[in-house]
Amino acid sequence: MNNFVRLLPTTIDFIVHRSFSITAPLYDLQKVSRVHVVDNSKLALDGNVYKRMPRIIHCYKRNNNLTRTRLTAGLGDKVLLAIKGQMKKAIIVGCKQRVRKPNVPQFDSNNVVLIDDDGNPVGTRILAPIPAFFRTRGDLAKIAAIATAFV
Amino acid sequence: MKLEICNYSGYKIYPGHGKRVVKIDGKVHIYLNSKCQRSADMRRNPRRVTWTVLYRRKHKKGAAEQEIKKRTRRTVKFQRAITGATWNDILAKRNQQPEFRKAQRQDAINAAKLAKKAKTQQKKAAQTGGVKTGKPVKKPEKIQKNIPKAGPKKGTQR
Repeated sequence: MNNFVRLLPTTIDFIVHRSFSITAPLYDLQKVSRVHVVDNSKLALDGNVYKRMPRIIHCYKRNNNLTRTRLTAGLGDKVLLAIKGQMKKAIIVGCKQRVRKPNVPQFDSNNVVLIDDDGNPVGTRILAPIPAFFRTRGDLAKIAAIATAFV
Repeated sequence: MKLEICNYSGYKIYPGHGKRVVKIDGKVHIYLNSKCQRSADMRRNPRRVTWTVLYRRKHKKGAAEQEIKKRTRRTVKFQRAITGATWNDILAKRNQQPEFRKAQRQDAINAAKLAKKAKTQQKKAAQTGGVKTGKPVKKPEKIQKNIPKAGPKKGTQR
């Protein structure tokens, strides 16, 4: 957008509005989204330092009726990550996208916790704060059990 | 519902308002509105932003703070006895007249002089008795001369 503005002729006076309307950016997590793993497992520690940041390659949404190509995942959703050349399942514990629900916080980084196929977390501790509703949801209880701080 | 306080402005956040943000280091910030959040994101120090509570506290604005400061504490002197001297003893010493003290000083000096005389007489007697011992006899004489001089001084200075 900035390049285009520079190309606009500056001498023509009748061009009053040079700016474009921009919608607020969406920080949804979808395929190819880069993500930060907040486990203390070995794969997490290696994966965060690897040449490529861990990325989401698939979102497992409970509702399968979504036909659009842009499948987004939010807090508490299971995703498939590509870490250090491997595929690993994970649960999203922190989302930059703002959720308009009461008592659900917004995070400054997209955080994720690694789990295995049964749903058990791979690490033993979670280093970042976790949304409080993880305690009440049954399928996220295992994550809440190893969490250190709640928000 | 718990009433939160905005991290930036210090205002109360009622239910239905405000936004909670978790920073990368794990710290949680609660903002009243986007004005506070954007100011914080712009790294504006709330202590320099005039309308925030932190600024007002720092620059001591508002009458309430001044009232609290007016209450000053005064230390009360408390007189009490010490082990070794009861309260009456302390009072007696404090209320001694100067003449009384002078008389005490004189008595002490006289006593010391008598003691000194007695000691020199004793040493003379010892000297005549034991001349054969020689040098070691001289040393105790020198030490004894110093002691009576120090005696009266100790008693007077109080």
